[in-house]
This record gives sequence, C-alpha cells and structure tokens, in this order.
Amino acid sequence: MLIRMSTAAIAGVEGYPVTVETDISRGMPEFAIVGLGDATIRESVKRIRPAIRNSGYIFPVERLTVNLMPAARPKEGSHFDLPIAVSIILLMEEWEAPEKTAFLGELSLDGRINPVRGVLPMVIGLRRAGMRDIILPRENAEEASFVKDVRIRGASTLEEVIAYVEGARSLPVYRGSKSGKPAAEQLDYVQVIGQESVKRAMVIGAAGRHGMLLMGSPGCGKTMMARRLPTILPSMNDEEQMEVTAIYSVAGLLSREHPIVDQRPFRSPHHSITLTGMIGGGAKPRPGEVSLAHRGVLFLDEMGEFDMRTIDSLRQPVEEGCVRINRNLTELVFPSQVMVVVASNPCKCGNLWDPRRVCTCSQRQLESHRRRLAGPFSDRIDMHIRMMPVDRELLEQRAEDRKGLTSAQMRSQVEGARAIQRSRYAREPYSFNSGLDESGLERYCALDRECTAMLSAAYEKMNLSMRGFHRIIRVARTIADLDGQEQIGTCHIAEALSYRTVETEDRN
Amino acid sequence: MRDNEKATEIEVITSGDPAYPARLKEIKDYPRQLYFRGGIGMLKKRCVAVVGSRTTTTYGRNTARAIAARLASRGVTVISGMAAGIDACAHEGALNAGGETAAVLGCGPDICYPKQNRPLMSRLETQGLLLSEYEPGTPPEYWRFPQRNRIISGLSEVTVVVQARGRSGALITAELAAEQGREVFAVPGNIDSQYNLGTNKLIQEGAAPLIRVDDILDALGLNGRDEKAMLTELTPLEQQVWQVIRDRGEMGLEEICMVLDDRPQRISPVLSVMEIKGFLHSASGKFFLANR
Ligand SMILES: [Zn+2]
Repeated sequence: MLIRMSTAAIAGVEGYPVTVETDISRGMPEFAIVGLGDATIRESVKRIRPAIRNSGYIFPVERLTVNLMPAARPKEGSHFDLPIAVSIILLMEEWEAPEKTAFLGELSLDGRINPVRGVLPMVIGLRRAGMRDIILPRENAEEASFVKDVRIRGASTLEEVIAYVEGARSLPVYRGSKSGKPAAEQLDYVQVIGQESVKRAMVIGAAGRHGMLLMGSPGCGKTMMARRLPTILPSMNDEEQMEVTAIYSVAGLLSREHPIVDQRPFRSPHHSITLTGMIGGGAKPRPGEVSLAHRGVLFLDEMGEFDMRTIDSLRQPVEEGCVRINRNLTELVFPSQVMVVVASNPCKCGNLWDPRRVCTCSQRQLESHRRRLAGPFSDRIDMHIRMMPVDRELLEQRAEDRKGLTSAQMRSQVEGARAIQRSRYAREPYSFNSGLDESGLERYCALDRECTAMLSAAYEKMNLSMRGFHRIIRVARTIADLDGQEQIGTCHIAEALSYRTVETEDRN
Repeated sequence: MRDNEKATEIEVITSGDPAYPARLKEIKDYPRQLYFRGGIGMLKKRCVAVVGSRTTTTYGRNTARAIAARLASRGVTVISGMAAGIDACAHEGALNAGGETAAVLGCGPDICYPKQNRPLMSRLETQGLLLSEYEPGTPPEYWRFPQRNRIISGLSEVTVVVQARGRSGALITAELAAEQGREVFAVPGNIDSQYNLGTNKLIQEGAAPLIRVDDILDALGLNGRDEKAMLTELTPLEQQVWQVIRDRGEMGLEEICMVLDDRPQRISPVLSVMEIKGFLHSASGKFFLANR
C-alpha cells in the first residue's frame, strides 16, 4: 500500500515542493525515512509514533518506508512530521490523499502541532506548484496568509487535521489580520536636533542608496542618525515585504507578535560577529546579517572594531546584491540588496575631533586607524560624513520656531530622486546611482566643461584618487536628481565634494 | 612684587576646555592648565610670535614694532613674553595698531616682571591677554623662562626672532618652534654688531631670513594683500562664510549653517568651491582660513 502526500522544503530562501511517499508492507516492523533527510528528519520517527498513538490512532506494526522526493536534494527541518504522520494514518484508515493539498508542521509527542521556520517561502513554492490548500501550524498562519490565491488552514492538533481530511470537520481558511499591530517606537529625524547638515547627507545617501561612513567623536549621534534611516526610505511594496519576510522565516526570526516584516529592516550586528554570522552559510545554511538587512539598512557601528576579514567579505554581497553559498554541488542564494552605513570614531581613543577632549592616540595608532577605513570594502562607501557634537550654545541662540526637517519631508525628497533613477535605469542591471559603473557614468553623468574644470581643480587641491572621482560623480548624480536636474551642475559637484573620503584630507 | 590691584579677574582653563587653543595642544608637553586675564578668544585666530633680546638697538625695537603692527592690522594675534626690549615693543606695536596681542609670562599672571613694564601690563590686561601656566603668586625664576618659551612658540604658527644676541632666550624659543614643526624667521642684522649675532646665526642654521615684513603674511597665506581686496574676489555668500570662519577661527559645517541661518545644501557647495579656490582648508571635519 502506498500513498503520496505534498509538502515542501527549503533551499536558501526558496521553497520547493516535496512529495512524501509512504509505503506499508508486511515484514519485520521497521520505520525508515529516505531521501537525504538530516538528523531532525530522522528523529521525526521518534516523534511521529507517540504523536499518532496519543492522538488515538493505531501505529502499524509493519514495515514502513517514507521517501522524500526529489530524493537527491538534501532536506532539513521538523515540518515533515505532519505530512508523514497524516500519510500513515490515512494508509491505515484506507483514505485517499486529498488533492492539491499540502501539509507542514512539527509534532509534539501528544499530537499537538508546533510552529516551524521557513513557512512563507515554502507556501510560495507550493502555490507555484499549483497547491490549493495548505495545512500548517496555526501560529504560522499569519505569516503564510501573505500569499494570495491559496487557502491557508491553520491547525493545532494532528486529530484536527485528520478530521478535516476525512471530512468530519472543517478547518477555516485563515484570512490574515494584518491590522491592530502595535506601532513600534516612532523614530523620526525631527527628534535629532542641530544636525541638519548630517540629515541632508542622509537624504542624499538614501536617495542614491550610497554606502555611507559617519565619522565623529563618541556621543555625537552617529547611531541616532543611522537608526532613523529606514524612516526616510520609501515603504516596501507587498512583493518586497514578502521577500524580506521569507528571509526572516527561514532564519526563524518571525514570531506571533511579528509574523510579517513590513518595515525596512535595520540590522546592527555587534562587532564580535563571525564571518558566517555576517554573510550567512554554515552546515545548515542560514541567512547572515547582510541578508537579514535585505531591502533595508546594514549598520556597522564602530567599524574599526570588526574583524577586517568579516568587513571585506561584505564587498561581494553588497556589490552583487546576493550571497551565493555552494553546498553539495548546489548553489544557495540569499538576497542582500542593502544600504550600508558604517560609523567610526575619528581615531582609536575617539577624541581626535573633539575640541573639548585630548586625543591620546600614538601616531602609529592614528595611521592604523586610517588604514582600516581604506580596506577593500571602502570601495562600497561613496560618502564620508563628518559629524561634530551639537553646539548647544549656538542652538540656544537660534530662533525657537526653526524646526528641523521631519522624516516625512526627507522621505518625499528621497522618493522623488528614486523615481527618476527608476526610470533612467529601467534597462540597466542596477537601479540606483550607487550602482553606476564606468560605462554608466559615461552614459548618464556627462559633465560639462565647468564641472570638469572644477573636478580637475579639486583633484589637485583635495588630493582625490581616480576611484574617489567616480564616487564624487555618483553622489553628484544623486544630488542633481534631488534637485530635479538632468544635467549635473557645478553646485552638485561642489556639494558632493564635501563628502569625499576622510583619508584624502590634507593633514598639515 | 605681588600686584594687588586687580584690573581683570584671573581665570583658568584646562586643556579639556573648548577655549583652550588647539594649536598649543599639538605640542608634546602642552600645559594642562593656563591662567589668564583678558580675551582668551584671540588665541583661536592666526598667531605669530614676535620675540627677541632684552638688550636691543633702535633698529631692533623699530623693526619689532613695525612687524607687530603689520600683523595686528591683518587680524593676526601677536604673541610674546612681555620681557623688556623686543618683547615689549612687539606688544606695544600690536596694541598701537589696534590689534590683538598676548603675553605669556614666566611667573603668575598677577605678577609684573620686569617692574618697568607695569604700564604695558595694565594695557595688556584690558586690551590684550596675559597668560601663564603658573598659578597666581608664582614668583619669576630664571629657570621658568625657557619653559614658558615653549608656550610662546606652541601658540604660534610662525615665530619671528627680531633681534638676539649670542645667548638670548629668544634663540631657545626659535629652537623650540623648529622642534614643534613651526616656521621660524629671523631678521638679519649688520654683522659688526653683537646685538645681531644670534639672529644672523639662526639664519646660518636654516631659519628663513625676513627680508620684508610681508614675508610673514606670505607664510600665513595672507599674501600681503588687503582683506578688502581679497573679499572682492568672493561672491556675497562666500564673503559671509569667510567672515564667519575668520571670526571664530575654526568651524564645522553645521555651525556655519546655524550662524548664517542657511541650509546645508546651499553652504556646503560654497565651502568646497572656496576650498578649491584656496580660501579655506578643511581637516578633522572643520574649516579654517587657508594658508594662501
Ligand atoms: Zn585618539
């Protein structure tokens, strides 16, 4: 006797359909699962038997073989428990497998169904494969309800699922609540007082998705600035939310309180993070911080404290927009389209730029600090922003009615400039000014004679490098877009020059 | 020797204080605190030390006054040691030109030494600045003067030795200035006078000979041109920016925007253009008037 049941598995952040083939035949009692399952799957044998018995069904004293197809792809996860248990019970009760219905869920020994990770990408994969109904843990229903054109039915016990399949009861289709979520702490740039020039830089960076370095003494507000960056990025559309939620689902970071990622992520990994933690991978490949920041912001506070290899390993994922992990001859892809913001003190002790404190660094420490900022990854950083502590005295002298820019005002500027880029780069592999390569710079950033003259004068005076040149033109392109100008002008070049790299500064 | 009549309060700043002169902090043994009477703010401006021997000739005294007056009229703060001779003339020259000048003392800031400089000291209290790393009441001791000299050179971008004999303290100041990486000028004198032996020797050893007073302005990038003439090269907004930075010595972008009450996207292009044109230079996130 043989039965086939549908479920899914995950490769990277992609779900794909898997067929559970279960066969009962006479012979020595045995329960084997084949088809490249990992240890969790092999252990499911130990969960399924008591779960079936405790739900009031008979577990066969016969030879049981479960095959997970396609058998050649490695699989992991405890969500195979439910389809396997349902298969066994239906075989014993001589029921047919329901059509176009898939199952996923982990079982407790008492027959309850526990939530699992990776539900959203699996549901996406199952819908693509033409499934109509998906039975899954009730706790995962909200996350899964993101996917349209498929009926999501949440269940809490094995018994409920069997009763539904046998037509004894119904499992209502989960419609999704999506509302009534508590508003997160409302961050807004209007809360940052006396740093309008840095806010301007944030608008430029967000508009062109430029990598940014915030440099300034401790306490000048670097984190405060970076933390609010998602508030001026355009909000994510459904497709983007689904992409990001899928990544969080695979990483097991969704919860009942936050079943969906609908705000652009802001990730700020600690500097002790490992290379795998940053990039992703591992024995059971999981997305790293760079993928968890997909479509959002990756913030590296105190860049100098990170392991330099970890930082440099970010270069390729940030450039390509995805992480590729090779595993068992297959390539897993984790998306990583991020905006990178790094923060650094001007020196090791942090006091170099602070007029009120004394820098205690040696010359050697100063040099090594500067070298760290110039590693291979620094190519991905288009803008260096110099931050000073807020001058309280000047601030108090200012008129009361002078309000700073709000996040909403800044976001509308960003959206305008992004719309221009979207249509300009419709046929390019990149969609932001930060993606402009040499030929793109030639095509989209033609400079008139005055701009060229200004740049060559700056080359001499400001000690620019060739790469520094390109960075400045990319940033100038964004400033012109914010200005609604197709032609880059000298004022755009001049403003872009103020974000040139710190290490080229004339030190005298 | 203690002077009891207080014209101005004695104040103290430590090296952690925002008013503490940044240039002085660059030297390796900068004083942790300074006692002062008068306008400490002048140390944030361009500073030049004008020093020399106690015993001098008319040539030396006149030159000292002329140099100090020229510098002061261009907004440069003249630093010296209030000693008799060249130092006193330098202070007088600056004060007479309506400029700013600071005296770094080798004793407490309330002690007048030498006594005959009493009138000069009261002028410095009200129109200039008296400065010392020694607390009030510290008597003058011969060994403190070389110590004090490191502050004179440390405060100054350029040190000018106007006239010095073979063994003048001013030569120590010149040596310290060179060690601190600051430019040293010496005024050449005729070789038949022992009063010029020290300065001529400095030139022989590599100090720049001061051929005309404006050489110093060249070294400071003030180019000997009049401020007014220079400002005509700038647009009205550039002029405003230039004046704001000149008045405050060094400023970050945010501060400039606040003072001018203007938006950063208007100010930062102007700063870049002025930097390219050579009117400003920037470092450590701040803008300074450039060495033109
Ligand atoms: Zn330091």
